[in-house]
Parts: sequence; C-alpha cells; structure tokens
Amino acid sequence: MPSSGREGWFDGLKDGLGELGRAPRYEKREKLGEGGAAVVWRAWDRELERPVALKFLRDFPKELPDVRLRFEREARVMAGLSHRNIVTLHDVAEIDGQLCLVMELVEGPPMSNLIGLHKYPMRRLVELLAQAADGVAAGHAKGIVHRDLKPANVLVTLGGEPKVGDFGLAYVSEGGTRLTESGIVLGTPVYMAPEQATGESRSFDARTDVYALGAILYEIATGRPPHVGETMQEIFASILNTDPPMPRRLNASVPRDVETIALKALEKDPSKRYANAAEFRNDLRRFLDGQPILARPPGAAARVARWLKRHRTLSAVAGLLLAGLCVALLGAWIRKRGFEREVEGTLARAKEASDSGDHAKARDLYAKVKSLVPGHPIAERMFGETDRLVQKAKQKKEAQALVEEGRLARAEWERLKSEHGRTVMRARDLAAALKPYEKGEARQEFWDCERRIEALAKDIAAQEGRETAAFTKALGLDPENVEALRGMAAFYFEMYCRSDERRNDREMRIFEDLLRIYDDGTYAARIFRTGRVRIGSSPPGAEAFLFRYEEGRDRRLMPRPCASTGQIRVPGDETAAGTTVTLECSDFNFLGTCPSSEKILPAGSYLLLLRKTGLRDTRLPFRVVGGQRHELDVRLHSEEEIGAGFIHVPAGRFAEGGDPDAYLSAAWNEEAQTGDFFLARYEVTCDEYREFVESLAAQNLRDAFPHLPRDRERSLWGIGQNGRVKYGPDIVGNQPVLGVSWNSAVAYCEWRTGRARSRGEAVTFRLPRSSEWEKAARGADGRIYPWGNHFTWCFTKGGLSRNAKPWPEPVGSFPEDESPYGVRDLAGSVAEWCEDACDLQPELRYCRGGAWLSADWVPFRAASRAAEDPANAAVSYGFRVVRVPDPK
Amino acid sequence: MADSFDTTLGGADRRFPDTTWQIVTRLHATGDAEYRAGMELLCRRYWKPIYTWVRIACARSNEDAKDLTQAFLLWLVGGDALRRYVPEKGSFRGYIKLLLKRFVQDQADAMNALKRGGGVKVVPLESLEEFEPDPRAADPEKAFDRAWAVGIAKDAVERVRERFKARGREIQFRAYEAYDLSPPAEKPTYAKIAEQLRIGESDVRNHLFTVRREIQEEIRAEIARTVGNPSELEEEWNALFGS
Repeated sequence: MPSSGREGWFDGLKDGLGELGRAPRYEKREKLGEGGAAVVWRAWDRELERPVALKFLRDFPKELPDVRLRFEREARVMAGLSHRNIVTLHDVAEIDGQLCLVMELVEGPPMSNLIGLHKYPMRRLVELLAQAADGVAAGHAKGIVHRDLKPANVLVTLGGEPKVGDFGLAYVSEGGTRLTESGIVLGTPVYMAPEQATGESRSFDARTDVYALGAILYEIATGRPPHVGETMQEIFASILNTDPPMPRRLNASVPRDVETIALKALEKDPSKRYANAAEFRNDLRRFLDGQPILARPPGAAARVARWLKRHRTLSAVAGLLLAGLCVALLGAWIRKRGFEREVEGTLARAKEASDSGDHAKARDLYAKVKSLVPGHPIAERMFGETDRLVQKAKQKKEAQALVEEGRLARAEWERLKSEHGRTVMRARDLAAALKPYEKGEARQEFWDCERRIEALAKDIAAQEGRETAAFTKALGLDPENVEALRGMAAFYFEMYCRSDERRNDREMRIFEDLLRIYDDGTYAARIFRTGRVRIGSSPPGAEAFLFRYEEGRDRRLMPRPCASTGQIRVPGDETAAGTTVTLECSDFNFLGTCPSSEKILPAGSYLLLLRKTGLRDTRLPFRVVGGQRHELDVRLHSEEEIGAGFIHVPAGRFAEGGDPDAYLSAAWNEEAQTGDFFLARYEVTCDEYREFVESLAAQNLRDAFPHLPRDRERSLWGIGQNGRVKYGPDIVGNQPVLGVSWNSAVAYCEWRTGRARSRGEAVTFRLPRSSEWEKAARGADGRIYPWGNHFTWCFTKGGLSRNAKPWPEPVGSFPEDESPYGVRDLAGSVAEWCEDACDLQPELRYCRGGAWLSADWVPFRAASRAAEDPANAAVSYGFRVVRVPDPK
Repeated sequence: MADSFDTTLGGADRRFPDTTWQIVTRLHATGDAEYRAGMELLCRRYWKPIYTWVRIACARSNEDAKDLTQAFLLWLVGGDALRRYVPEKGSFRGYIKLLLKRFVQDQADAMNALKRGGGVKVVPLESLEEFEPDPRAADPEKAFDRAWAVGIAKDAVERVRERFKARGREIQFRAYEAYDLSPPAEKPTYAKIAEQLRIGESDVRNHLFTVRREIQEEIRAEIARTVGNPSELEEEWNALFGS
C-alpha cells in the first residue's frame, strides 16, 4: 500500500477517478508513421472499442477559427463516404490540443512503397490503381473531389486491396502552408493538375483527380512522375508548359494502351481528359481485360499543333532556327539518351540491391542517382528509406555485438563462479581438517585457497559489471532485444537468489522489482513469496496461535499477533526498551487446532504458541521459506515434566553458526537439529550454588574448597569453620554465580541430580550442549542476538550496560535479553559453560555468551564460541543447567 | 470448529480482502463461528470509520475514543443488531452509522458493555499513528464517510493489484500506483514514471486509464453489493467518491 501516511494516497486515488470521467476517447498506442505534413498513430477507440488510426496534421493553422470550422464541417461530410476502396474518416477530434483525423485503421504499405519494387509487376499496380480509381469514382458520384491524390495516399491492405486515404482534405494544406516557400515539407506537387498549379482556379472538379490518377499511372509505368524539377518553380513550370516525356521512351516495356490512358488523363486541358474517375477506371479495366480502350493516342501532328498554340510568338523564330538547331539537338538528344539510360540503370540496380536485402548498396546507388538528377523523387524517397534501414540494421548489429559481449561475460562469470564455489569448498575442507596449530603444506594450501577466493570475488564482480553494462547498452540501441532482456533478467534473478541466501528480505524485494522490469515471466514464476505449513502436536488437540516477527521501533524482532494471512497488526507500536514480550492470544491470531490443515503463509519468521489444558504453553519459532512445505510437530509437556524455572525448547531444525563476525562461529548449517530439552530460564544463582558448596562442606570442608567460586587463584567466597558460605563484598544471592570452572559446574549438576533423586524426582541435570545453547538463543531464523539482529548495550548485561563501574546484577535484570523461546540472559550476564568439548581441541570446553564485564560485544553474538580450559575459573564464567526427566 | 475457522478467518488460500457483502452474508449465517468470523472482519474493516466518528463527535480524549469504539464493536459482536440489516432498506454504511449514533446516546451503557467484554481486544487493521483524525474537524459524518471510503478503496486497490499481478500486467499497476496513489503534493510527472518503469509517456497515460477504470469498477461493484438499488448506488458513489 502507498507509503505516505495520513491517507494522502486516497486523495490521489479520488483525483484519478475524477480524471477518468475526462479521459480522452482515443487511446494512442503506437506511432505508425511520420511525414512532412502529418503524424499517424495507431489508436484505440475506447467508446466503440475498435482500432483506429489518428492522423495529426502538422502546422495546422488552428489559430484561424474559420479555417478550422470549414475543415471540421467538410470532414464530417467526408465521414459519410463509405466505400471498400476508401479509407473511412470516422471523426475529427482534438487530442492534446492538436486537431486530428480519426480514420479507419489500414494495415499495409502505401502504394508509393510498392511502385518500383520488382516483386510488384506493373500489371498488378495498374490493377490496384483501377480499384483505387473505383474508390475515387465513388467520391465523384457524391460530388466529392479528392484534390490530393498521390501514391502515398493510396494504402494497400495486407489483403491486397487499395484504399484511398485523406479524401477531400487537400484544402487543409491549401489553407495552410503548401503555397509557401517551405513547400518541401509538404512533399512534391508533382501530381498536381495545371489548373491547381496556377492557383487561379478554385473550381476544381473530378477531372483534377483524373489528372492525378494519370500521373500515378505514369509513375507506375515509368518509375518517375510526369514532371520533375529541382525546385518547386521548375516543377510548376513543367506542369504548365511541358508535355511529359512519352512513357515508352522511358520504359520500352510500357504497353501502348497504358501510355495512351496516362497521357489522356494528363492532358493540360481538363476537357480533353476523362470526365471523371469512373471513365478512367473503365478504360483501365478494358486494358486489363484485354479489350480495346476508348482513348486515342495523340498524333505527332497534334502535339506540334499544341506546342505551336502555346508558343505562338516563338514559333516563327523557331521555324527559322529549326534547321540549324537540328544538328545540335540531335547531338544533345544522343547525350541525353545516354544520361537517361545511366539513371535508369542505376535505379534498376539499386532496386535489385534493395530487394536482395543489401540496403547499404541500394542506398549508395540511390545517392548516385540523387547526385545525377537532384530532386529525383524515387531516388530521394528510396535514399531516405534505405538509409533508415541501413542505420537500423547497424544499430541492431551493434546491439547484437553487445549481447555477444554480455554473453561472454556471463560465461566467464559462470566459470569463475564455479571455480569460486569449488575453492570455497576446498578451503572449508582444509580448514576442517587442519589443527589450529598446524603449519606446513596443508596450511599453505589453505592460504592459497583464501587468496584465490579473494581474487575470484574481485573478478566475479568485474564480470558482473561487464555483463550488465553490455546488456544495458544493447537495450539502449535495441530495446526489444530478447537476449539482452533475458540476460538482465537472469542477472537480477541471480542477485535475488543471493540475497535470499543471505536472508536479506529488503534486498530481495529490490532485486525482484528490478527483475520484473526485464523478465518475461520466466523468473517471476520461480519466485515464491509464500510457503506452506502444517502444524501437528502430540498429544493432538493443542490450540495454535500465530505471531509474525517484525522489527519494532527499538529494532528488536517482535512477535506480533497475526492471522493465517499474516495481515493483522496491533495498533501502534509501543515496544520500547525495557518492555518484555507478552504474547497476546485472541481470536485474531488463532490459527486452528492441531493437527491443523495446511496453511499458506508469507515467507518470513514466525512464532507459534501452542496451548493445551493441563500442559505447559510452548513457543515454537519457525521460518517459512517461500515455495517450501514445512511440517511442524511439537510435543507438549506437563508442568511437572518440564519443571519450574525451566523452558521447553522443542525438538527440530534450526540455523546454526554461519556468522562471520562471531568468534569461532560454527559453519553455517540450516539443517541443524536438536531433540526436546528443558533449559533453565536463568543461570544458576549464587544462592543455588551456595547450597551445593555448603552440602559438600557439611560432609568434609576440604571437598568444598575446590568448588568455591574464584577468579583464577583468588577466592571470591569465603567458607567458615561451621561450613557456612560467606559471600564476598557486594555479592547478592540472586546474581548468577560467577568464577566457576567447568569441572565445578559439572560437579554441581551431579550434586543436584543426586539431591533431586533423593527427593524422589526421576531427573538428571546436566550442562547444555553447545548446539542446544545456540538454538535456545537464536530460534529458527538464524538471528544474531536472542532479541534480533542489532546490538545495543542497553538490552543486555555487559561492560557498558550501565553508567557505572561494571558489576554483576541479579539474573533477569535485562528483560530484552530474551530468546524466542523465552530463555533469559543468554547474550549477557555471564559466559556459560557448555557440556561438549571443543571440536578443534578436545581438551577445551565451549563457553558461550558475553559476560558482565566485557566491553567487547562480539562474544554477545549468539554464534560466538569461546574454548576454555575446564579447570579454569574466572569472574566471567557461570553456567545454567538442562533438566532431563528419566524416560518413562 | 478448527476447520470452519480455517475458512472463515479468510482461510489459507484467500487472495483478496473480503468484500463487505461477504461479511454481511456471514453476519446472516446461522453458524456461530461464521458469525464470529464475519464480525472479526467487520471490526477490522470498520474500526477506523467508527473510531473517527466517535473521536470527533463525542469523545474527549483519544483514550476515550478508543474505549468507546471498542465498546461499540463489542456491543455489535455481542448483540444481534447486524443480523437485522436488510440491504433493501438502505446502505450498510448508513445502517452502521445509525447503530453507532444510537449506541453512544447512552455512554454509560456503552462503557458497561466494554467492561463486560472482559478485556478482549478488537484489533484494527493498521496502526493508529498512520491515521489520527483531527478532533477539531467540523463534521464527524464527513470524517466517517471518508474513513469508510478509504477502507473500501484500500481493499479495492489490493484486489486490483493482485489481479494485474496475476495477469502479468504489474507494470500497469505500478504506473498507477506511482501516479495516482501518491499524495497530490508529491505526484511525479508522467515523464518521471515513464523513465522509472522504462515505458513511454503515453503508455503511462493508457495504463492510468486502464487501472483507474478497473479500480472504479471494483469500488462500484463493492458498493453495489451493499445497496438496494441502482439509484442508491449512484448516491453512495457520489457520497463516498464524488469530489
């Protein structure tokens, strides 16, 4: 949920819902194309739920309201035009302050892309044009003139059907900028009829469109528009004054009928053209069907007459000069033929290169044509296109090279990682086999391993950097690059797994989020956020209450009541230093009666409280690992069995060792096990120990002396001739006994066992084993201290815990020093003897936990172990006992 | 009993917060365990609006407000007022408000009910620190409605979030979260979100639209379940989420 307090998010949510009512109808999805005059987007019509194309007109003079009104009014008339060969105009809308046309979405290239492609034979293009003319004819039938027909305006669907776009909208540009000098922006006026080019006549009719259709046919036949020129003026002049070259002279394979139809449509005098698009289409159909066409080719005489008519004054002079010029013209004509042939040849080769996928070659060839004939429309257009393709291919190639680099880094990483793993294992084995005092070959090998591990760690980090840098760069060039995406996802998954191993939940969330940016779902499926738990009790029927460990304000891990979904919390967070953990059991955290059904719980650390009438409440800390199934089975014991002052630590798994900052930490073992045991809640106190000493003294005073608490050789207690113990100064009875050797501690256990048995109790007392001690301190989640993962002197009895000279205090003085099971003073107070011998040096015994005078906090880490001489007694050593009832 | 608790407490498999309607259905259920579980959900969900109203309308101190809220909920749990709720007669929100007003008319009774409750804690969903109504706020009704709306919205957001996640369209929800669920003063720009999520700016807009629509539908569906007819739905909607 949103992070901000005071429900600021709710205002945001409300605003958002308010926005919803004002959300635009059209949802832009992707840019389909961009031209000089317009940008076209694929979009979704939210109201009618259909795909549409949005055409935003650039430079539309929206500051002129009358132009806009006319535009909108006429656009709505066009919107009524519906024909299979016309791109339907649905609507005119204003989006993001820009006027735009909402049109039927046509998936396919414009005809301009098809002209000049080898795979598109001329006949097929003529067929397309005939169909397009059918659409234009439908407009003409309703009195609507297109006015801006050109190959770019005819879209060809993937089904091969042409659709004429932008019907009747040419005036938009007329009202706009076409007639300005920046006309280049709008493309070329080469399809413009003479009556349009003069700009005089405003009464265009269907024949204007016929001219444009003719121009397209001309381009289909020859590969170039009928009139070309370097500047707008040249083109206009050519349109007005010159007859286009005979198509068959540019391309000998043009059928005579096509030439005739094109030239009739291109007549400068509208009355000599086809009357409308329908007539034009009919003649094209006749040609396609192999029937005779209606149009007649203009004879040579007719053309001379026409020329003379246009150039009356010149004709006289021309007549005189004609003979003289003949020779010169012939030479020029021959040179021109050669030039034209070169241009045509280059174009053909460029097409070939383009078709075979060699865009770079095609681009160079088009560039050549461009330099030969500046402004050559095909060359200009195709140069731009091929250049784009070349650039794109180049980027893809670069991206691919980077991916390759990333992959190499990854492979190298994997190799290093595997060597690292092997070396770490080897170092571990060597360390286990090495006696601490050993030098020699094995020690040298161990040192070599350590150095190698450090070097490998450095190299691994370097490869990680190299890998991510390469993939990220590749994605910059080609955001869709699947391999780069996958590479990044794999990397972050790796990081995620690593933080999982380290049990760093915060990092895990971060890497999971990063992973999801790149992941296609492959890795997300491998991340489990919940695990399954089944809880059983023996005897069955215990009620289970659930708590989830969360860090409190004082940074301790606090068990909070939670439901099986882990969602309920207590109001506020009032935990502060000096409070004990009380477990509130209510209906809210009641999980069910054991054996419970399988629960799904979010991964994390939990505490279970099991309660059954007649038996002691038992605490069971456990950790839920995502994606795993946990079976918990807890044996409950009666008060008498456990014994007053003892705490039941249930059998089962815990995480042992693995703390690199602790002294002599055991190796990390998540599968460590212990059986059920009952551990004293507090250390043995002076008063308890005193009974032992006095009971020995009663037998024989000399037997008592070796067990008197002492600091090295100095006795801390005195003993009178009457066998009564006298405490040293400032020692009080409820302090933990200190200055006890391991031997004395064991003797105490034996004495206490004997005393209990003499009273008819079938129990044995012993020292805890080192692993039992660690489990009692850490619970299941591998925490560093009994209360959590952060150290503070004020939580435990140590050298800096009070603003005074360190002195032992009564047991239980620091309520925060409590383990998940409820055992107190494990971290501080006194270091406690454990039963077992040090596995590195069997002469020594483990002694665990920090002591009241220690200003070093490392021994307080629950994984810290000290190995001491069992005969030594010092002020920092004390102990606590385990109570073992005889098996029944 | 154990098994019925598994399901009524939301059960292990529960993915979405319960809707008010599910709670109300449970309150009408005959089994006691069902009723109790329904009550628990109800307390969790409506603790805040009730507390808010009490705090502003009639309590002098924060502690009093907590006690009174506690008392009211215990009274609800103990009695059968909720069993008598009929959706056809008006919104659930209105009904709770009505009960609440009647209840606090006699505060002495109210506090006695608290004592009879024997110290059982009714635990709200969230810490109070996050939400502390201003006791000087003029209108307890408005504060109640707002807290009520917040509860509904919060659960709706959670459900929609889960749904987007399940569909593998988390990115859409994240865009929504980043923009709409930030308090108005801290709202990032579309560009910022686009950059963070590595998507286009227009994608952000579209994602917002998509998620908002689902949230709106979710909230309206939730409200629809607790009202008698469509015109009441509009009324409730405007009362809770109208600007």
